[in-house]
Amino acid sequence: MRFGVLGIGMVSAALTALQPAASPVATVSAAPIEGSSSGASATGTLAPAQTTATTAIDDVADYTLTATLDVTKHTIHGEGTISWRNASALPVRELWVHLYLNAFKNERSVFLREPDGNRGNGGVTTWGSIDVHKLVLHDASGSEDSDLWPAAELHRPGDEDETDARVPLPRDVAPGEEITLDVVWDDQLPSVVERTGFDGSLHFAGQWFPKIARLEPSGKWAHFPFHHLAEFYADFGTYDVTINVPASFVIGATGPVVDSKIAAGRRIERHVQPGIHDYAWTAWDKWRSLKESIEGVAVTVLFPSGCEGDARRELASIRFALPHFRDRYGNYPYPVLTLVHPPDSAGEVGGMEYPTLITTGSPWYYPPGIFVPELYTIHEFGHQYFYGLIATDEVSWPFLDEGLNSYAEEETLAAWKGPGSLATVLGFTLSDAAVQGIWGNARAHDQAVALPAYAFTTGTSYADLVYERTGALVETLRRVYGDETVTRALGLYARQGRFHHPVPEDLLQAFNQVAGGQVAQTLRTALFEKGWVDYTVTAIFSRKAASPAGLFDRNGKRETAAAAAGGGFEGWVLVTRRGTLSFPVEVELTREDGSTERVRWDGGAESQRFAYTGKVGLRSAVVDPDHAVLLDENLTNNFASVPATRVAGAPRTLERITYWAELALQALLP
Amino acid sequence: VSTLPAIGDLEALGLADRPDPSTDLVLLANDAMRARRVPGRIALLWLWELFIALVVTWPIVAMVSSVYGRHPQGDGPLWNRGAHELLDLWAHTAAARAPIIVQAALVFATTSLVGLIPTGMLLASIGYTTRSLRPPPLHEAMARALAAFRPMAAMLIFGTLAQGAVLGAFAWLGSRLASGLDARYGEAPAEQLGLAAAAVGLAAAAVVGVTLDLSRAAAIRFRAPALHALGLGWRAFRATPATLCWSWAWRGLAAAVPIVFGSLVAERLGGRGGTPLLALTLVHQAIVLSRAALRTSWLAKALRTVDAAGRPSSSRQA
Repeated sequence: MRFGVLGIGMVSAALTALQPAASPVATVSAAPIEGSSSGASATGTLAPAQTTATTAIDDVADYTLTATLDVTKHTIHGEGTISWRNASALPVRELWVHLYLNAFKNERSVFLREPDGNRGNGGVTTWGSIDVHKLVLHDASGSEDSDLWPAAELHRPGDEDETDARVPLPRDVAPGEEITLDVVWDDQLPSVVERTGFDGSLHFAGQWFPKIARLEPSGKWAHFPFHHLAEFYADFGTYDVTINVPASFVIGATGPVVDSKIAAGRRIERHVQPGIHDYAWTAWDKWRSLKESIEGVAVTVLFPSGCEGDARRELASIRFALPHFRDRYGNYPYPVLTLVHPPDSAGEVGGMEYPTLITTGSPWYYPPGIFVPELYTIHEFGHQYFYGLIATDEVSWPFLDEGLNSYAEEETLAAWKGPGSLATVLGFTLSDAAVQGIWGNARAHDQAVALPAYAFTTGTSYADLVYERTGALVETLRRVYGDETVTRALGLYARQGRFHHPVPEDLLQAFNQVAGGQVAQTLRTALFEKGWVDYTVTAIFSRKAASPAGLFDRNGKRETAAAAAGGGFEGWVLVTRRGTLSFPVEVELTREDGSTERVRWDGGAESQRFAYTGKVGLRSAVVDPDHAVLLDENLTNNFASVPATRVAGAPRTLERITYWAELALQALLP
Repeated sequence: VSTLPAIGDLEALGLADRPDPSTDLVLLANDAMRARRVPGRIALLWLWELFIALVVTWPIVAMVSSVYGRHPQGDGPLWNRGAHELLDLWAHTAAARAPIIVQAALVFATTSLVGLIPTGMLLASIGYTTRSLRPPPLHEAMARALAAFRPMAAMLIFGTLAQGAVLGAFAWLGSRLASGLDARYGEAPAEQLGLAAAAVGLAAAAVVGVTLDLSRAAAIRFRAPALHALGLGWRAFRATPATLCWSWAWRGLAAAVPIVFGSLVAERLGGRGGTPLLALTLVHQAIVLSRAALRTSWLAKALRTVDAAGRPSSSRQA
């Protein structure tokens, strides 16, 4: 069964299917996991017969590849076959092939030209490249096989970037027609810059093979040069990859091992995984491993010597995250998951996602109360959903994977670690949500969230808006409209988008379907229109209630009435909403006797005056006292007290800071 | 006057050694130089630290109060778990932060020098007594500390440079070691070995610190100039290095324990005010006071050590 891009209309059908679905990928039961030592297989082993093909995934691009690693020259010789089907409605006369390893070929590549990539800014000490030698089309029509590569255009006129090649076809490939291509190429891995490369004998191969860009159903190719901030968008397919490395090396790779042998001093492993859209692997003679079966998934952590503590923390993170994600976004359908924890010297390899293989990374010395290894692991695991299974266009809509995944990471960490989800150290707790809220507001007025990755002016803007602001936005919706609503909406989007390539409208439609039009509109404004909000208590007033004074014409006579004190108090609070976003919020009124009362405001108008009457005077008001609105730009104007109120001062601050200053003095002074 | 015990009586009690020729103070017998004799001075040290801390803290408190003073819970939200409000305040007070940080740095820098005076006063209070067996009057202790200020300041500069040099050298050594062993043992084990080397440097810096404290004690006890005091301190250290290191280390470890306890209490009480805040204040200040007492105990040990090492042999035999 084949699917096109997720249509909006498909959303409603999924409303009835919110329970975790059976795996669309035919389940393969992992073979017993064996301990590994240097030179042993690092991934769960499967018999070839166990990897049955899925019936629910639109297999467009299948790769059967062989990679032979030269650990001295840091090269990979690759050859194999690519089966590609025209899944669009139109005939095509060209292929677009991504050669992303050429991002590290010279400083004229788009990757190295783009400024401030947020990461990956270290210099390249060994240049990397991918050289395709042939790309032979086997023509089923009976015509002679032809090598397409001599006619390939590696770059556009005036642009020396060679990461996005156009390959003319000798004839039209009709809609639904499948072609087979033989490919031979050689990689020179760069020194580790970002995501890929070598560091000593450690080799990490990401973006290492010629990869066909995705052809949209409209017949338009979604092809991109390798940008500094985003790289992923491809069709699903089955990857059958045989990796050949020295026998002393440990391999970690996408997909389960279906065949493994040692011959002529070489380790040869064949990994097969259907239902994925990318492939990465690593080989190092110093990998150590921990293995555990979690929820039926054979989880392997590869780590360098001395980082076993990190590896155990990462395993614990997966132990929590797997069932948590399953309950919210559907089951993890693959039989294996490999975590690669690189050494610090190859740190730029860390913090990346590939199907069934993620890279983590943090120094060995992080204390237990700082949950950076956990955050890394859960974030990258989350990408198995928001990027892997829900295969959105990361270049055009990075918030759909990085942003939604940042929310999933924050929500999962909070569910696991509580309010100190990022750090709980020496009595101080810091939550991931707070960090996302503050950083997410930092550049809210600069650019919209929903932009292509290359449109962000700096890597910091990209990080703050795509990751943090999207995370804070969805967390705000969760806090305001309830966990169940947002979980259902996001779960609907995740389940409907599974093994598809959803677009922002699908996300908006899912929220529209579950939470209503207003919520969907809020989401749209926040994502596309630089939506922002700042709640403030603008004014507060309270006085003793009195009968009205003045001249009154009553019963044909003019009377002068003096104010007569009543028995209670009256007053009002003026709450203002600045900005283009609106959320229903609570306003907490505090009376002079310390008692409180909460009133709800739908937040629709620009301001709201709340009248107050009571036996005691009104003292203070706080809008959104529980800080449900993480996007609120300024919390220091969320409250006000009547002028007569004695200033409470800052006794807690005085106490804490004084104590810390005393400790500092005792440490520093003679 | 008649109620005051004579020097002979003090000696008979095993307390006094000999009078200080320049004052009415009496040098205590070596074994009587104890922190427990001067609880009031420990309290004064705590008050001094509290005062300086308040000087550092006050601009911060004023800034926070100007923002959160009119919140119905005061600054309570800033200390909520998760630190959202605290981060928000941090983000919205960027302009106010720089002068506060500069002022705090200036206070710390100034106090590191001026702090030699209370340290000297504390040493004088530990080592000497009045004829009524009371700690020296503050002005007497101050005079003693001021007299030793120049050598102590010189030693502070020398000691800081020496500690910096030792730490820098061992950090460099540790870094080189980590780099050199990386290929052989792997990055993390190599870094751990490098860190172990750096820890040796930390221990060496601690030895410098111990010697510095001994030298300060010598400057007070013997009115010694800087070089002489350093010589006495080093001689005292060399006589019983293990004992001194242990004596310093156990107090250091003991001083760390209450901080952990205080953190647990703070985490439990969170940002609550009223009685919980009062309780937290008492706990925290008790921790600071206990650390001041341990510091005083160590200085007493340093004073006893240099006193024993610096006395004429006849006196030591006595």
